[in-house]
Amino acid sequence: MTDKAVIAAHDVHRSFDSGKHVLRGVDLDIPRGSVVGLLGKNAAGKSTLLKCILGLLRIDEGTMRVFGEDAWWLSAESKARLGYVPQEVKLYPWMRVRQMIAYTAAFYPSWNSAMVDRLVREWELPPDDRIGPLSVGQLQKLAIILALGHEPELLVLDEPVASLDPVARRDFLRAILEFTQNENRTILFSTHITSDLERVADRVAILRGGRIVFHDGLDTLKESVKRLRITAAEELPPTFAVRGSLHMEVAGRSALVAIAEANDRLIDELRTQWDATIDVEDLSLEDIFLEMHHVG
Amino acid sequence: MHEPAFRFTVHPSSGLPIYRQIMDQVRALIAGGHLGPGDLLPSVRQLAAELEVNMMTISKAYNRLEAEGVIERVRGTGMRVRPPDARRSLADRRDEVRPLVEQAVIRARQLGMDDAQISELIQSILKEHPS
Amino acid sequence: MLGRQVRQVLRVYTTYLTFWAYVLLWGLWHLLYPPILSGDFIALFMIAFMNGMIGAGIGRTLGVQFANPRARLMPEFSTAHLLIAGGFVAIAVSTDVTLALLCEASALRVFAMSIGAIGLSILGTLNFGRMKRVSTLLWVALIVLFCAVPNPDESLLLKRLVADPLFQATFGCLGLAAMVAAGRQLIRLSEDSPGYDALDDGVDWDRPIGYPTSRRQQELTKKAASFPPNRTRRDILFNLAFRHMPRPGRWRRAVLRQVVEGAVVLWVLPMQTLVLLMFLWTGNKGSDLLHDGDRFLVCFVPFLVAIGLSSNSWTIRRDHLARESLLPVGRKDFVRDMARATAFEMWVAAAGHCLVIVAALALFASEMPNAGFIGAWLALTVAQYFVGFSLMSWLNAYSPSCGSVVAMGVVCFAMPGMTAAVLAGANQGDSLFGGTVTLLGVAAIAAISFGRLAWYEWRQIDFD
Repeated sequence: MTDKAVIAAHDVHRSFDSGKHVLRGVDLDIPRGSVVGLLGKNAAGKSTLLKCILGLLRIDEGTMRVFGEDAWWLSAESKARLGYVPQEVKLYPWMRVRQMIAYTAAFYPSWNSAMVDRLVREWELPPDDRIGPLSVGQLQKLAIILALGHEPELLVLDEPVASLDPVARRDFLRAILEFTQNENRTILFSTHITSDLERVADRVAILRGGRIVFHDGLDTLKESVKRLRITAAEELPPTFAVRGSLHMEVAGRSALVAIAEANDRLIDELRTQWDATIDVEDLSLEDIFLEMHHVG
Repeated sequence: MHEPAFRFTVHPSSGLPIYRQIMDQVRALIAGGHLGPGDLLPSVRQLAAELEVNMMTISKAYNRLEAEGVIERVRGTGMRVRPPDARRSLADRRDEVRPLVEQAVIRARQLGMDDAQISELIQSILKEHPS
Repeated sequence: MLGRQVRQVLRVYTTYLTFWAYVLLWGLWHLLYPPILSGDFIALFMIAFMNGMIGAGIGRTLGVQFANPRARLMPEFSTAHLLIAGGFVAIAVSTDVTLALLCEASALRVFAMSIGAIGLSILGTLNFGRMKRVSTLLWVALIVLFCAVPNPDESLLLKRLVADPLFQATFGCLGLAAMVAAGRQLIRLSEDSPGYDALDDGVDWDRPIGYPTSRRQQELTKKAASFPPNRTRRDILFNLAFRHMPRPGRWRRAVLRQVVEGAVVLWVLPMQTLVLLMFLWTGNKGSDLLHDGDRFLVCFVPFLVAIGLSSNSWTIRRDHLARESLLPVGRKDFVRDMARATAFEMWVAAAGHCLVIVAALALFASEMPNAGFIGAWLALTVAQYFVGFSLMSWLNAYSPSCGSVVAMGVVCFAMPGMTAAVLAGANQGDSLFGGTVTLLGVAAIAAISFGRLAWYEWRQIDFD
């Protein structure tokens, strides 16, 4: 077993019967102990990628290994070390919350009842209520608890906070942070809410056009992607270009350029070339995401 | 352990990485006299729980500060603020301030100020912040 | 304007998979009409049954469409939907009447029976959610009534339905009135109406092709709100299963799965028993109980049950595949678990079927047929259940295509047909042994090949 990478995807392709080629060569290595946020536009293939990782969907080409095993043929032992919260939670509506927990627990060799009971209490889930009438948010909470119960080493969450209110979202983040205190545990989650990701994630993977276009530390991303506000001494020519720019707006003497890898040398070059003053702006993850997708 | 008389705040959505925000705040607290030499910083776990951020982020900030010589690790106790004189050589400190001053001077030149006006300005700022 | 809406509405209906299943079933069923329409009782029963099914289909689809905010917000919504539903009714009734005219049977009788059955069935289906107990009781009472008549041709109700034009006309009018009442009910339907939530119950399994799952989830949630807060049969089963099965293992998984899915087979058994008893009771009561006219129908029951059972439990299982496949069980073991669960249900159904046959022979037959005949009948019955099981296992894993539907149609009609032929031959003194063995061989080959196909597909399918 490769020691470091919990998930190792190499050149993963997957298309659907409808002819949609969703994943076009995904490479992704997720080291043990990291908290990775998976970002991408709607329909970028985030859920598909997560499902391929879990062996729910079969990949067309490439290799996908989880805990060093082929994801499609994951063994029972590996599955016992895996937790998953799907985007849409499907549970048996007739069951009570308590029964659903007991049912799930029955399949796992170890189950942390104390923690589960505590979470059920803290998250104000009614243990004796039927699952059917629960709200979507409550269902999601229950699914998260079910996925945490066996203390998995790898937790995969598909938009886990989408239907949670701000309070519940904070509770969830706290549970995740608590969960990561054990350094053996790895979390991979997809989300649209970048502010949550900025709190808990230490790495970011960005999925675009069926490929992972960025995968590195969140801090690295924030430190390398910058927006330059350039004011030149003279009118900028229409041919004005900056190496590695993601997005650019030029108007007269000033230009607004988002660049992927900002460094002092590049900025100095620009400064001398155009005799310009340059302000370097830090970008939030949301801004970076927008710049990378050429919007705004 | 005494209750620290200061609080950290972080803005995850700001462009500055969280670990940098924490580093800046530790520096500011030291500069402002809220943290003196020998004072203990909260533990990584404690601060991560308080700020609701990843523990790795906190330890990254502490490690950087340690590398810069602002704080030091005390076995079994945690992170302690180092006395200022032992921190860095004058050359080091000058290197850090130099780009900031340089940028200010360039901007002043662009605005058409002459040398005398610039040094006068610096003198007046120095007066406003007596050491 | 209305024309365009009607076209769009028609499109809504034709994207339901179930719609095409109904059309197929309806078409095949009508192939059986000409030889049977001459018989009084069987003809009436068949017309009532098929049109009742159509009515139930239309009623449920209308209920699903109208129990939706769209119904009150979109202009001309009700007109378009009711027009289309009316069209379906007209097609069904006119086909029956045409067939009756061609076969020189009484057109009025067929017309009255069709329209009466459809109308009452639509109204009944629309109000089923509201009066679940009452409607179920009515259905059971109706079946018991049919069964309990010693000689159907002599029962007053049936006699009048068969012969009295005034009575027939009244029944037809009753159906028409029921249709008008159903239409009125639908147009006036609002969220405050009793049974509103129960109306889209049907969505659970009657889903259009490509139905968005997020909406399905909402509907499922809403539907589940009707679950009773008190202890139910399943809670008790659940507690029992947990008390007595301490270790995780395949048997425990199998039992827990039956419990959480509600042991569908226990619901199917009484239905199966009633239908079989009805067929066997109303036969000519010779030594083999099999009347020439309905021998095929009797032999068709195993497939009917096998298809109904496995598609029913599959619809329950499908939604939970993703989660359950991630429980700590290897993929192959998981597939075996699923197969084991379906096989268990089939064994129960097949055993129940055999018991009913033996019981019916002991109770109703003029004399007990020889052991060879009973053995052949039971063996062929069990064989059919297992062909049905492997066929359905394959179809469930494999997304249905034209070819697989044709395969299913061929097998579903060939197996019962051959079974009926073998049993009929035995009745006329042909050698029973050769036919049975050949047929068992065919069944074994079919079961094994579909089983292999199923095993192959199951290892490949996405559990999503």
